[in-house]
Amino acid sequence: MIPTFGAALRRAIRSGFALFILLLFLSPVFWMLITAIKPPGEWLNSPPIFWPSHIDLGNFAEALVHWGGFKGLVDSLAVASGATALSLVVGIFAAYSLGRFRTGGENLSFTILSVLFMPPVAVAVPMYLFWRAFGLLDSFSALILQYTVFNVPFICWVLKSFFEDIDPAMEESALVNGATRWQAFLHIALPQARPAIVAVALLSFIFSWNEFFFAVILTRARVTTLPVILPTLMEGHDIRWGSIAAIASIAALPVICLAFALQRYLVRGLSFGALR
Amino acid sequence: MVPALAIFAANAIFPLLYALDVSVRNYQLLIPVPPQFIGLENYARILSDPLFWSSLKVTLWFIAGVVFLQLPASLGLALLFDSLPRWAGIGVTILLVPTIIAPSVVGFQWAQIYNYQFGPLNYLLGLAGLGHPVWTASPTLALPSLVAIDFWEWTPFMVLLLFAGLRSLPADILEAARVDGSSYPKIFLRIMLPLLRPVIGIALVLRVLMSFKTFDIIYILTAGGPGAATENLAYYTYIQGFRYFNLGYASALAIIQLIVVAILAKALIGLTRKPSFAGAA
Amino acid sequence: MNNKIFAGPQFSRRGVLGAGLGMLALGTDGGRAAAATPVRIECDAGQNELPFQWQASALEAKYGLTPDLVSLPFVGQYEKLVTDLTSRSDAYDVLVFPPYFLGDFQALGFLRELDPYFSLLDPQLADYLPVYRDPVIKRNGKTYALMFDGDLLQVCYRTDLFNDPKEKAAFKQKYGQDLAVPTTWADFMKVAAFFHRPPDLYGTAFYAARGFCYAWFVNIFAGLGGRWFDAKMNPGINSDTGYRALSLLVEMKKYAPPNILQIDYPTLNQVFLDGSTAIVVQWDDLPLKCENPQMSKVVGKSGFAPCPQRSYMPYSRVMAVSAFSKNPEDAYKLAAHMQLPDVGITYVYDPECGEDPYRESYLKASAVKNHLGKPTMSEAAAANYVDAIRGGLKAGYPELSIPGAPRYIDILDLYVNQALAGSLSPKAALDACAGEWANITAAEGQDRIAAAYADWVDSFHKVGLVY
Repeated sequence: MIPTFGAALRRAIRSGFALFILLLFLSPVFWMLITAIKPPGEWLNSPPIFWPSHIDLGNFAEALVHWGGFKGLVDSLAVASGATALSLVVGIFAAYSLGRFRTGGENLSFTILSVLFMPPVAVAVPMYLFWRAFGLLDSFSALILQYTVFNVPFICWVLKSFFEDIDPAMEESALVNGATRWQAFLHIALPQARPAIVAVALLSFIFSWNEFFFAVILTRARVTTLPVILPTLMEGHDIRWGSIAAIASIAALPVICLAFALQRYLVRGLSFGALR
Repeated sequence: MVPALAIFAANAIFPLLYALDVSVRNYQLLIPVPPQFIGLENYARILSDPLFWSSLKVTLWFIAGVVFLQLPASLGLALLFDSLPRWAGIGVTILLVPTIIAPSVVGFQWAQIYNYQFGPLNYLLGLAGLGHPVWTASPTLALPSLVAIDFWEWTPFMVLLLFAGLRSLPADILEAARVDGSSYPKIFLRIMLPLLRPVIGIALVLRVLMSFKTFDIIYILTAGGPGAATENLAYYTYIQGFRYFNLGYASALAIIQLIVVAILAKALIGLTRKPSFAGAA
Repeated sequence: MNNKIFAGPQFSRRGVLGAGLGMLALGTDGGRAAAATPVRIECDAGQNELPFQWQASALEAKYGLTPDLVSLPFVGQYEKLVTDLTSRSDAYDVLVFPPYFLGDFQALGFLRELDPYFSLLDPQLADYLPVYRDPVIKRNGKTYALMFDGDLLQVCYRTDLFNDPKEKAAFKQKYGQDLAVPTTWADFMKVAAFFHRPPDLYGTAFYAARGFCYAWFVNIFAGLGGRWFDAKMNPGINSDTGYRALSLLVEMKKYAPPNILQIDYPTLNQVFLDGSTAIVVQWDDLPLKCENPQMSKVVGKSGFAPCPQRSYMPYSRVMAVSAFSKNPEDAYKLAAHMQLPDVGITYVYDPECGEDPYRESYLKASAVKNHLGKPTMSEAAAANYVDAIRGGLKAGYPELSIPGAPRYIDILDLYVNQALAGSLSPKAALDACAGEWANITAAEGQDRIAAAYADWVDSFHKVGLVY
């Protein structure tokens, strides 16, 4: 089919529109990045300064050193990686069990999913008391475990229907040929689920990296993830917009890079997952 | 598998039971009086609390934004990207950046953008001769301003889900319909939309659940104001529980929220049941 | 905008200090002095931590102590402190917080009595301004805190506008009285209306956002003769005085910039400092900014005065020793040092940290200098400023500080804000608020609260203040 001129024109228009939408959505992000490199006098001006007079990396220095941005990066990385890893372990097994063997049936799945329904605010107080009882306040373990509880239902849900749709024949034949159930799982079921697993891993990482509410409640000084640092910049007297933008950029860039690197898994993973 | 699930279940069930228990007591953390059982008194007080009803209304506004703004827009954008196969994948991922940015960060950035005197938005609007709205300083505009931020932040996520759904539509059915000479709108309405129903259902469920929890942007931009115009149920529960330390009252609010959410979710999940094609070739 | 706020020795929050101390400790032998003991100070993040950093070397030299600052966010400080202290955490030695938490914290047993420690280091309380000496830092006759920052609402106005002969003539013609710094709220409204010429000049501005808008209401309420409660703990706000005060505040919106409902502390500063507003009521560290050429477009053109009738004293900061601290004596010594007459004077007039005076000996024009000893205002401005503070504190109206105060105040803020947003009439708002207050009083225990309130009011009478 040779594309006609009309079709090509329509395609060009659609591309243009898509580009326009992308630019529209990204313009606030552009503003954030620009603010991060603006020197202190140029943050709030009338008319606003859209291009800094000179690039001032002082905001980043201030954010990293004075406001604890460096420690924030390290802590966020530790918590997000730990939570994602743990969530995957629990979630994959649970999803396999639910999807492949229909353990517990629809009711168990719904119950697991309903954990997502609980507003964090409600869970906050009991969980605060819970972690305090174990002496785990302001510790990495508490945050990692807490985020795992939040991530697992989502992982389960997406992967469950995925495992449901896998053809059991391949596994059966492997079993007949002497493989254990565990080997069948590891070498046959798991690889097929790879795109979906990558997709949910990425989303879980993003969630754990960005989480604010529980990080604020459960941590003090030993563990400080990046989102927690932001409100401290809203001093009663003066708002350090440059440093806020710097921390925001520092917080956003690693995750954005990760998303781009794993981009092809995102769509593929989700389309074979829960969307069937 | 089972032990993992057991630990997980404990972690999920315990808070629920605890909240349920606290909600029927007059537990206030800061008052040195041992909490007593008061039955459904907290719930009764909630039902006659004007701030509760206004917070419910605010929450419903956010949900309305999801259903009536984000869903159609996401569907449209997903279809748009679907028609540009070459750079659809990368485009959808680039679009995802607002979702990837932490909600608290989003709050700060939009606080600057919405700034009455110095914000770039008002500057651009001024250039176009559209005047300078006061955004979050207006009792009527504040909530729409926040709903707009929510739109900006989460539409890309819905686009991702819907786009993935479009990609997984059975190509043979679509091809057959096209060969048969059906027009695009008819293909869309009669075939694609019904097939997309599960995806739409999931996207709606996820987003509606999440919009109940909208907190960060309220906390940072308006603190619930002006008045209580932007105070949703999650924020109100936070204030009751963590500002006033009325743990009993806050837990009751949370249980009510849980019930509402569960009902909504159950209804929406009904949409995810796969459609059957009687007589499909 | 504060451009340079990081002068003086800097400590990153824990790392460098910890590493440095560690190295010191490792390298000690018997003959050398022991490493300085860290004292953990909880403070709201940012500029209020600066005085501790400025005094770090003095603290180490005199007492072998070093400040280890734990920053809490300004928004949410109360929640964090309560959740930590109810779990008896020993994470803090010295607590820095606003005195309206004091009633709560003392009643809940979070604070140590400080009187037994006075022998370690005399805090020299005789020099305190009366309003701080008993009412703010003591409960039931026992001392629980020491002053750090004495906040006060003050009037800042544009002297160039008020002294302009053309303006004076026009005002006289319009209102039949002289244009002067208002001494009643009725006059304040006239002045604000007179100067309201949008968009170039706004009459007035105030903190109308959620968070502290209540303070501007209480300021007027006190000025009209209002009281928090009566002896039986009936709220005083839902009275004619209260309705009138809130109506005045709502009316004031007419003479303010359009984004008034989002105006908070920094924005309020900014609308005066950029010259767009004629007269504002703001915390009393605004004058220091007014006279700072780096931040202000109205240098030399601003005057300061007490608020009409009475000046409300919202927020402020005190230092207390946590009941769960493991080294209370060191904590006390650090706190007491920070507020000694010759120490406090180095920071209460420094524009970078925002602390305000609380001692009689500070109220001298010659003392208005920053922590490096440089004068921060012209002599004339300093004299005007100090007089305004003295006048304001003489008729100061204290912030409520009984058990439950944070809740009373927070709820008042919500209802005042609703009235400002127009969703409730002033009467409806204050009536509803009074109803909520009654609930809190009942929940806290009517008798307990009434006794605490009576004791608090009594402490004002003891130092000769009108209340």
